[in-house]
Amino acid sequence: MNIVILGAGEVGFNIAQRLATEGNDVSVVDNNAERLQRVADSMDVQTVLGHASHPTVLERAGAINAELLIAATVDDETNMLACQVAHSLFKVPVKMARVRNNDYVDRAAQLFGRDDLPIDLVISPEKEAAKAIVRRVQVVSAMDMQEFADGRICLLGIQVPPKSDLAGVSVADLHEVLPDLPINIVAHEHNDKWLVPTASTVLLSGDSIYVTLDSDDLHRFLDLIGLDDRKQTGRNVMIVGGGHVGYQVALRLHQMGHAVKIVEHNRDRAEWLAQHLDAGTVICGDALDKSLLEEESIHQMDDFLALTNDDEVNILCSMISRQYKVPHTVTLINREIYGGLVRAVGLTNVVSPRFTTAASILRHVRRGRIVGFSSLGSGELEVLEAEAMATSRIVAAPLAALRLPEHTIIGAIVRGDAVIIPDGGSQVASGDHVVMITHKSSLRAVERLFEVNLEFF
Amino acid sequence: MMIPLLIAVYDQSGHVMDFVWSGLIVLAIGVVMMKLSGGPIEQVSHKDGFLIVTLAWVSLALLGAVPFWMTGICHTVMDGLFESTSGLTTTGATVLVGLDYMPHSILFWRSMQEWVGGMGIIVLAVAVMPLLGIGGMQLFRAEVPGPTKDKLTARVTETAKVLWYIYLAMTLFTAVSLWLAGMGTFDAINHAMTTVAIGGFSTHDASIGYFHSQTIQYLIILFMLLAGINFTLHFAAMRKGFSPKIYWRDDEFRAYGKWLALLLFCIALLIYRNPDVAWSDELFNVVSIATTTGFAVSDYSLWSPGVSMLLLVAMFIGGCAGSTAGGMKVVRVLLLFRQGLREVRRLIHPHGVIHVKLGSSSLTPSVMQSLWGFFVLYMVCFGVVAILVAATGVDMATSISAAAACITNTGPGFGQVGPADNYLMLPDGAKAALIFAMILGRLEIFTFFVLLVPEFWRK
Repeated sequence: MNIVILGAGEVGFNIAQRLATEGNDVSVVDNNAERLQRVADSMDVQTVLGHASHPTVLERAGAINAELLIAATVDDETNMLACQVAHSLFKVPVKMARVRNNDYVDRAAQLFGRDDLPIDLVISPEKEAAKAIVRRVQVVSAMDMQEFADGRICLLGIQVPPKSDLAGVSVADLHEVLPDLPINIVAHEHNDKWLVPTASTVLLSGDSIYVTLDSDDLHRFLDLIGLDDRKQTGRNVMIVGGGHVGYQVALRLHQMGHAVKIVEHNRDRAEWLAQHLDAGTVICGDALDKSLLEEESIHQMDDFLALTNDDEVNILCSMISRQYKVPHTVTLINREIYGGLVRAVGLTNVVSPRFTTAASILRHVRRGRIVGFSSLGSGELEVLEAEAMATSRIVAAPLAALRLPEHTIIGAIVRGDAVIIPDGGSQVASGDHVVMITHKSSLRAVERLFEVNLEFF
Repeated sequence: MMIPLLIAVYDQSGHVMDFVWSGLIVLAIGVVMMKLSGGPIEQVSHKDGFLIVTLAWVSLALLGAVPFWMTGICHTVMDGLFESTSGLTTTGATVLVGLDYMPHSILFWRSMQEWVGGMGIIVLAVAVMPLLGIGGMQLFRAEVPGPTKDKLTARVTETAKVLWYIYLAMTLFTAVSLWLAGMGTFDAINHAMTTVAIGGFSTHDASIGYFHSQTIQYLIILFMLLAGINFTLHFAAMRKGFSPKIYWRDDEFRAYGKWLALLLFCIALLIYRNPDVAWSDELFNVVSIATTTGFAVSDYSLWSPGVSMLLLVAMFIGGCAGSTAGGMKVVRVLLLFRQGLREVRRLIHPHGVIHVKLGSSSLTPSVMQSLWGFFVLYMVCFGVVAILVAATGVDMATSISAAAACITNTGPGFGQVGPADNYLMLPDGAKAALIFAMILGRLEIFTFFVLLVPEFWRK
C-alpha cells in the first residue's frame, strides 16, 4: 500500500516504522531536515522536506498514487488543511488526521466527513492518553487497564502481589485458587521478557501479568488477590504539568469527585488553567522544587500523575513522589528509549500516548474485521478485538482443535450480552467479538484467522 | 414633562387646579431648558454620561416635588423634596401620614414617581453603569443585549426598549394578579407600580398589612422576588421560554436564592418562640427588606434585636444587579466574599494561581479593585450620613438605620423611622442628609462622586 505520513514527530515516526516493517511503501513529509534524517536513518522510507499542506510538497511525496494519508504534524490546522488538499487535488481515498484541540474534537461528528472536512479518522492522542490515565486512577492497584467490547471485557495489568494466592501458582492450577471467578491470564512478564503464558507457566511474586475478565468481576477479583481498591471519590490527586493531557485529566477527575491539585511551571498556562478549571487548585511552580511539593503536602496525596511534556521531568518527579510514599504514581512517557528504563527505577505505571495513537491509526490500516487494537508490555505483544464471521476459519472448531498460531491466546469472547472466558473446549460462533493476545511475530497469522473465506462465495 | 398634566387630567378628586399649575410650571421649565440647550446632542461622551445621569435624577427629583408643594400636602420645602426623591430613587421612605385619607391624585403621583424611577434605574443599571464601568459593573458590559457599538446613546436606546417592555409587562401582570386577588383597581395599580419598582410606597398607612389577605401577601412576595432579579436575566430567560435552567445557571441568581433562604432560616430561628409572628408575616417582611422594597405587614422592629441586625445587613446586600432593587447588590457582595476566600486559600497555597470567578469567567484585578473601591466608598458614605443625621439630635439606632435605609433605597428603618412610624419627625438637616444618601445610593456612589473631582471639569 502507498502511504503518505505528514510529520516526523514521535507519532509520525512510530507509525512510519510500523507500516514500513509491514511492507508498505511509505513516504514521510516534514519541514525539519534533522528529524527527516533520523527517519531516513532508521527505516526504509522515502522522505520529503517541506510544509505538509503545500500541494507541491504532497505531490513530491507521491500523494497522487497514495491510498492513505496520515496527517500527524503538531499543528491541527496544517493537518486538516493537508487532508483537504489531498482530497481535492490528489483524490487520496483514505485520510486520517491528528487533531488535538478540544474545540474541534468535540464537534468532530459535524465537522469531519465526505462533504465537510474530508477526514476519515480523527485521532487525538492527548484525549486518548487522558482517558487511559483516568482509568489508572479508577483502578489504582493495576499498572494498566484497557477495556474492550464497549467496556464489557476488561484487560487488567497487575503485578503479582508477594503474599497473594496467585504467587507460586501455575496457570493450569489457577481455577483451584479462584474457583468461581473465571479469568484468563493472557500475558506474563518475568525478568523483563513478555510472553503469552502456557499451562505450565508459574506465576512468581513480582511478575507482571495481564488478565482478561468480565468487567463486572473486576473489583471482586482485585479483592480476592489482596489488591484492595480504595475509595472511588474524594481522593487527593496531584497532577504535574497542565498541558493538554493534564488539563483533561484534571477535568475528568474533578467530575468524578476527586480533589485535584495541578502544578504548572508556566505562569501564562497556569493563569489559563485557573480560568478554565472550575474547581481544583492551580499551583504555579517547579515540580522538582522540594519545598513547593512539601508546601502542597505531597505526602498526603493518594495519586501522583506526572504528565508534563518533558519525559525527564516526569520520571524525576515520579521518583520523588515515591520518596514521599505516594501510594499510586502514573508517569507519562513519550520517548521509546525510556520505556524500559523506568521499570528499572521502579516506576511500573507508565502511559505512552504514542502507543495509543499509533494503535488507533494502525487499527484502521489493517484489513479484516479487526475493530480494536493495542499493545501490551513494551510492545512485543498485541491485543486485538475482532468480530468472527460465519466463514472465518476461527469458527470452524473448538479452540483446542483449532491450532492457533504460536504465542496466541483467546482472552475473552462476547456473545450477545454475555462475556465468556474461554477454555480449550469453547468454540467461537459467528457474530462473536473475540479479544485475543498474540506476539508481534504471529500477528499476520492471527489476522488471517478472521479473514472471510472466499470459497463460500 | 407631560406626566404631571396627565395625572391632573386623570384625577377627579380635587386638587385639579394644583396639578394643572404644577404641570404648567414643570412644562415651562422644560421648554426653557430645551431652548437653552440648543437642540439635541449628537454624541454623548463617557464623561458626559456621569453628568447627565446625575443631573437627570436631581432635576427630576426637584420637579417631582412641585405637586407636593402646590397641593400643600407637604408643609415644608424639605418634606416635598424628601418625598419626591424617595419616590424617584424607589426608596419608599415617606414623610406623609394619613395616606388612607389622601387624595388619590397625590397617592398616584407617588406611585408613578417610583415606577418611573424604577424604569430609569433599569436602564441605568443595565446599560449605563456597565458602560461607565462603575463599581465593577463593567462585568456586565458584554452581557447587555442590543448592538455592541460603543456609542452610549445607540446602545442605551436599544437596550432600554427591550427592558421597558419586560418592566411594563411585569407591572401589568402584577396589577391584574392583585386585582384578581381582591384588591381594588386603584390600589392594585398603585401597588403593582411600587412593587415592580421595588419602591415600597403604599396607599395605606398600614402598608400591605391593611389588606389582611394572605393571597395578596404571597403575590407581592413573588413579584418583589421577581423584580429583585436582573432584568437582563429575565430577558435571556424570556427568549428561551422562561426555562428555570437559565436562571439557575446564573451565579448571582443562585447566590440571591441561597442568601434569602439563609436569611429566612436565621430569622425563623430567632423568632420561632414568638407566638405573635406568623410565618407568612416573617416571609413577607424579610423579602420586602432584603429586596429593599420596604412594604410591611407588621412591625418587625419589635421582633428581636437579632432580627433587626440581620435585616440591616440584608438592606446592604440588596437585590441583584440590573434590577430595580437597591443596596450594594448581591453580585458585588458575592464577589467580595469570594475575594476574601481567595485570600485565605492563598495563605494555604503560596504558589497557587487562584482566580475570583463569576460563573465560568475569571475577573480581572481591575474589576476587583473597583469593587473594593465601591465597597469602601459606600461604607464611608453610609457612615458620614449616619453621623450627619445623628448630629441633628436623632438617636443612634434611628440615625444608623435611617442612613442605611436611605442609602440602600429600602425605605423604612428601625427606631423612630421603623415601619410603624416614618420620617416626618426628623429635623430638616437630617432629611437633607438622607436625600443626599438616597441619590448617592441610587447612582451607585461613583456616578455622583466623579462630579466632585476637579479633574472632571477640566477640559
